[in-house]
Amino acid sequence: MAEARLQFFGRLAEFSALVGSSWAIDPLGSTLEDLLVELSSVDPRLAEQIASPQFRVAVNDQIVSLAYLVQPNDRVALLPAVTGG
Amino acid sequence: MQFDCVEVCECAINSAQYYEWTVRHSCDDGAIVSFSGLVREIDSHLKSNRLDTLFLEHYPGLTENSMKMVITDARAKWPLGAVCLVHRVGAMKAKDIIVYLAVSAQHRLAAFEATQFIMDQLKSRVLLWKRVEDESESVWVEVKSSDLVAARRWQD
Repeated sequence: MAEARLQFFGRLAEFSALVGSSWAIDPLGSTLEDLLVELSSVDPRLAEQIASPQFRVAVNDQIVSLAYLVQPNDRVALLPAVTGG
Repeated sequence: MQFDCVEVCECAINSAQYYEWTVRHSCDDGAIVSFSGLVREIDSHLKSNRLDTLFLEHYPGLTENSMKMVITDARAKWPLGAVCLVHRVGAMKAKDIIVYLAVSAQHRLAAFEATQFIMDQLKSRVLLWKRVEDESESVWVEVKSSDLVAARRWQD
């Protein structure tokens, strides 16, 4: 089965054990939005982070829109609101 | 001439060295504004209010790219000469420099405004995440609404 790899940054790291490091792509095609809907159902606190207007997703080191069609072996990085400076 | 210095480092930031770089690359500019952001010991995220260690996580490559994008946006707004933006990651203690920024321009107003713009944008756009720790707690820092308001004030 085709899978994408998941990376969790910042406060999302605590969810990596719960979610796992890979995600099965639907044979008919899965968008990032599909992934986020599924992840949001895992834990309400994760859903809250994903719903933040500052939440972003990078695929293979590029910020992309949620309409992106996930490809096998993509590295999908989940990026919560930033707090640098 | 325009010169950028963008770095992410795990070691202590030598601000004098980066200021010197900015002076050398400022060409005929008449103003340099520099800013240092420091780790504060008092931290309300912790029950003790006393920070022992600040940890900053980054996304190698993409963090640097997001820093460069902020500088590009600043250059679209003001005529800038040299811009030096350095961010520390990893473990830090109180009084350590987290971020150093120096901006040169022909006149001070552009340098002051661009410095504020870059810091406001950095806090809301650059891929960095803070965690504060003391002996009994380790807490990820929440985004501050005041930082988001500060970033939005430049939208026009």
